[in-house]
Amino acid sequence: MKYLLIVFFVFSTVKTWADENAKPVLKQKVTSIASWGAGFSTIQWSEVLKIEQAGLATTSTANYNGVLLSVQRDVYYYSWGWSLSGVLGFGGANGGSSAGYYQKQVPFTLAGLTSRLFYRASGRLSVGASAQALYKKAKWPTENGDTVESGADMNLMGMFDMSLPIFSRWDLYQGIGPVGENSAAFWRIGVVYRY
Amino acid sequence: MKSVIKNIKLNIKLIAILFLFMGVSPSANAYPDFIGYGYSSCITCHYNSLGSGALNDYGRALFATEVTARDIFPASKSEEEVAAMSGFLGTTQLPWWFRTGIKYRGLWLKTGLTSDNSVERFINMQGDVNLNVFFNKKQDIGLITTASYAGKEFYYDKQYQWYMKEFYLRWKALKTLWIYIGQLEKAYGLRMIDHTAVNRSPLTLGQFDQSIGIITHFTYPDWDIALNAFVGNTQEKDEVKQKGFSGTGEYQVFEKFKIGGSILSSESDIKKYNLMAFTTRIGVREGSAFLGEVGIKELTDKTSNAEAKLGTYALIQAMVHLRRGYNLLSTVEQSREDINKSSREYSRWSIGGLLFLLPRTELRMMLVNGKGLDETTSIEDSWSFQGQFHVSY
Repeated sequence: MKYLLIVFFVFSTVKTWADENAKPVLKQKVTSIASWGAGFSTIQWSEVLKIEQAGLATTSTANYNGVLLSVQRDVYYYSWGWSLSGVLGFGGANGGSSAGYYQKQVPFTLAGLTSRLFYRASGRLSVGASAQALYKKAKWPTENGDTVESGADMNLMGMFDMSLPIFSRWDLYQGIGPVGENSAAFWRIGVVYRY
Repeated sequence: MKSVIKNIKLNIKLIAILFLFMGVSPSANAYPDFIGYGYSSCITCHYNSLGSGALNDYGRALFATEVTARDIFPASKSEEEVAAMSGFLGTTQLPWWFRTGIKYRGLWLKTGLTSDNSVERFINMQGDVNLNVFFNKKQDIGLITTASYAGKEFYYDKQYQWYMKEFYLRWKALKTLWIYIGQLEKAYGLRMIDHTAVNRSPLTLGQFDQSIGIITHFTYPDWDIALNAFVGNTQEKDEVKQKGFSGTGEYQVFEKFKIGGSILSSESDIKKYNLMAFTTRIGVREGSAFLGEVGIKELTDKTSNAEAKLGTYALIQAMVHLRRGYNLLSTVEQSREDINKSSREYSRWSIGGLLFLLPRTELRMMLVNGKGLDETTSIEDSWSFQGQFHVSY
């Protein structure tokens, strides 16, 4: 029992001694805050569909529609911030024309990275630009040695985007930017949950 | 007879769903985004408690002091002085029984930006003179009128002449009840400025779809509901006059967050519409806002034996306030003609600046990207530019 009392005394003394001799610690000034987010977005874009049937080459359009799931890390400074996210996507694409080659709901998958630099209009309300690297996998059905390809497998693109805090933990994200040929635009619209 | 019973059943369903939303539903505004400034009720700024049309004195002052940039005024000029200059005659007050205003909107439109078939047009969209007469100092009873000029652009069969676009008696029957009788906009959905939006002109709610009717609008601090019976526009031919009823309401869940719903059922000898929508308005902070409207639309062509088309539409709009007078505006719209069979789907994203640089003016510069989705043919993107100038004097 006495040993316990001694131990207790020693510890309490150490704490008191530590408190008395501690150097005054200046409170660190907070210069940035960071948060994690999980997102769900709908995505849409078009690509040039290159069709080669029986030795005849034609072009058409492929319309992609799908969803994108993301995990992101956001860092906010006083008037600006940056964000990095990993994304996975999937969906279906329609392409061609019923007059010739035509396929609907061709499955596709996406994986990629997005980095974003933004201006903070206020709080989590921000306007910015993103760079996206998305790898797409889609196999367009063909017969008898014909080939059908749409766009590129690897897409590097820039987007103009904005994020609005619509509820305390939920943000609305909207991004639009050029993709591929034919002056097509990539759309991404969704919500991000902050945790 | 069967179709009548079916329609009645559908209408009852629509009404039932509306009542489910109640305590849930929208008052429409000409600038519904201004909930971002904390102004969630349209009567604050407009003579019409559902929004749109002439601004009242408070609305003029608010436009000058909160919405418009004050770069042209010296720092020494107070906001009160700026507000005092916002009347029709500047600081000179008009008599209490009379208010007037002038509105002009012009649109420079360039379509097919990335194609070889680019087309440019300038459209005089709106040339209005508001003349409003009140019968008591509190302005509880008044006659609100809008005379418009139809130039090159037709107003029904009129061109190069004046016509009466709106004329209605507004009466504050009770502290919580406004009654409107005459020709005015129908009570339905979010009253966006863009009359070509998926929730406006395609649904008989466009620029020239004002209708003779009666609106009763009950307004309470946390909720409001408007009921409207209408019989068509005076300028329309009888066979195309849409006659029917609509209802719209909104509930404030908490400050700057409103949810609502709308229904409309109307028919002419040629077409019949049944509409229903769910709406939301969220003031984000310091002038920024988010709006959303999602709806279903049933259109019956009565001249053919074709079945009714049941379509859907959706619109979301985000306004980001950068600094006083300078805003970014982003609107995404989607519409599908028929969800029961293969039908084309249209989407449109408009993004650009909404600028109030000088008193009484508005400038919009929007880049518009259009997409289509069809189950028989793939569709290329389209691009257009819309530059809009608005004077509200």
